[in-house]
Amino acid sequence: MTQEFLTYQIIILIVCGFLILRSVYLFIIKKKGLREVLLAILIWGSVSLISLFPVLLQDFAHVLGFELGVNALLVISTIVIFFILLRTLIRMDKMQNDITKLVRELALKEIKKD
Amino acid sequence: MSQDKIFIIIPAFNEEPAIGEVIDSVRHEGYDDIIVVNDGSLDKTSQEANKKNCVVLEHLINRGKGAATQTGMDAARALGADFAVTIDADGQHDPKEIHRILEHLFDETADVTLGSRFINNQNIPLSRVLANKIGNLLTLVFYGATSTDTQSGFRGYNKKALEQIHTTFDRFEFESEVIYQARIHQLRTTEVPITVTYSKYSKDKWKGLEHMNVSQNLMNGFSMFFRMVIRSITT
Repeated sequence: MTQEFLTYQIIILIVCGFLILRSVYLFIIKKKGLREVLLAILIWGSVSLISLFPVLLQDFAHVLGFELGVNALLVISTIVIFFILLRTLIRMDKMQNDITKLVRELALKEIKKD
Repeated sequence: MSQDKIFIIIPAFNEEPAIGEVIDSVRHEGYDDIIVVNDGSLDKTSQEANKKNCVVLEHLINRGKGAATQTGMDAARALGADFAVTIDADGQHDPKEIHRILEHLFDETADVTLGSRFINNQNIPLSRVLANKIGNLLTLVFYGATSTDTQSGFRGYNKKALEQIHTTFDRFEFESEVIYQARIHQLRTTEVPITVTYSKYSKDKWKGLEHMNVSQNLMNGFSMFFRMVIRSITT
């Protein structure tokens, strides 16, 4: 029961392997937390698995009610990107607010001193 | 009333040519306590204001009209203001009408007075009308509040309003937020008609926007909408 891998599968496998190893290395040198490493392993591990066994995506799509695996992938990717964007915007908004507070404090420093 | 401390707050960004004249006209109407908030101007707005011997507060970097106005209101509160009036720095508002803004505050029929350019018909550029319409719509959708001019910068506050209103929006959304905060703090608001003069200087400032007024205003409206959505999620 041998399986021949296509070039793209090998490339994805190498890239994902590199990203997982990098995360583990960053965890070892304490630049990343355990949660981040586990998340990286989960994400890149899933990508590797799906690229090696595309039928898994098809099964997954069926579970979700999609006919084609690629549709499931597109919808899930869109949702994930939307949430990442939203989270980034919320963080940016908070940062902008903090900057304003700081600038205001500095502007009012003289008045409060008096 | 003569014992009351009235502060005039002027948020200013790159208003070097107009700020001195605006301060003079305000003073000419008998208001001596003037706070200029220089919102990170790149020109000599700050120096011009300092020449006029008023309180000049410096935002080290530009944070927007909303942020500058709130800084001015915080300063007025810290300086013991009984009333505060905000007025634009480009000379579009007539300081002669400050007394009209203050009237309802003096006779205690309102805590916040909103100057409105749209009560009396005036010749207002389409771009500003459109900006106001978008602002009115967003104020209604997000805050359930209405006003004929949600984007006017000519407003008055009594001590109670100064203590209770703390806006968090940095840019033009803050004008709507004031109306919202007045409502949730159960402050009485009233509108008074004001006149606006779009001088050559004031128009020149907008010149770059006039030729693309519709698209620019829609873009501004969209980004305003987006910031309001984000804020409604986080608060």
